[in-house]
Amino acid sequence: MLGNQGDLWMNAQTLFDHDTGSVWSQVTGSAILGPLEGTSLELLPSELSSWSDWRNEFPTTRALAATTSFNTFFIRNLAVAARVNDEVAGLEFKDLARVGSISAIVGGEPIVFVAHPELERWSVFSQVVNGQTLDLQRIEGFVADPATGDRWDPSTGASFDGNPALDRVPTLSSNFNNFIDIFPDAQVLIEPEIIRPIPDPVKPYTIIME
Amino acid sequence: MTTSWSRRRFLKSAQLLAAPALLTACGQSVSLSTNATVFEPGLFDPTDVPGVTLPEGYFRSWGRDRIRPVYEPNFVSAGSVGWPDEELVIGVNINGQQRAYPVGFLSSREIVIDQIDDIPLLVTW
Repeated sequence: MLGNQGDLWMNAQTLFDHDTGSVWSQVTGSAILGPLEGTSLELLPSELSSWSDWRNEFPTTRALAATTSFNTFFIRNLAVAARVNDEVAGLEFKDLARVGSISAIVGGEPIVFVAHPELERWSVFSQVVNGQTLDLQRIEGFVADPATGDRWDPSTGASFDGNPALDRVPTLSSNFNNFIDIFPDAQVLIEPEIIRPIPDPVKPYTIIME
Repeated sequence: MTTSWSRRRFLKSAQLLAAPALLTACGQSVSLSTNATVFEPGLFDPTDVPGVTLPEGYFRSWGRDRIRPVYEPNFVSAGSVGWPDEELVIGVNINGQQRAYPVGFLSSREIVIDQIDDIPLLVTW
């Protein structure tokens, strides 16, 4: 079981495990100190979504018994990324939303990032279907194979044409600067227009003598 | 050493970034846990080892579980929560079961320890 270490590594949260006391990185999912250093947790698929979109798509969803207020941390500010076979690739959501979809080879696997700009959601799928590698793209609100016209649901990966569902790829998100700090070897699929904000000049301290 | 970690699953949307999460938490003056921490007293902390070299970019802060994770989450139906439609949630769909974790809540508690069937989950923001 994991708990909150309370420290920061690469400007991101750290955790500890109750079994060995090892310290883990929230973002990489790897132990960075202690007996389990070098061990990694498995990243699972998940989504960031508005509550209304999630609830409409999954009416029987269970909801964490918790109170909350509107969170202003919009997905459009995020870098969205996928990790396959320990390789990471990502881009800013706003760039993904602009192009609709983008393909990549990550960890040797062909995958496709798909944006749902009207919903501010995104998914990543394997492009391998029935042993064949397809050129999947977002076309008119669907994930589609231009060669056959076959279509899949961009949220769930379910087929509309009797094909197998698309396999989801585990994803993660962060703000872009943290993303490239923590994953310096990651593929950046579309370079953002502004990579880093220009910091304010440091103001000199004023010493007041009494 | 047990290999229980091989069964652990790491879920992160959302993974998300702790830096904004922690800053947000501080900015919102989140009340830190005043209960006794649940971790074992005296549990090994590698950052306390004399002479330890911490990884580059590592900063000590306020200590374990001062922002207390949700170790035993409860769930209710979608109609039972009054969350705003625009609330950002981390959505999980595993083995035909869907669960939603609101980011506004996670911004203050940061970690939810959960399980679906036999799959242990760490949901963190």
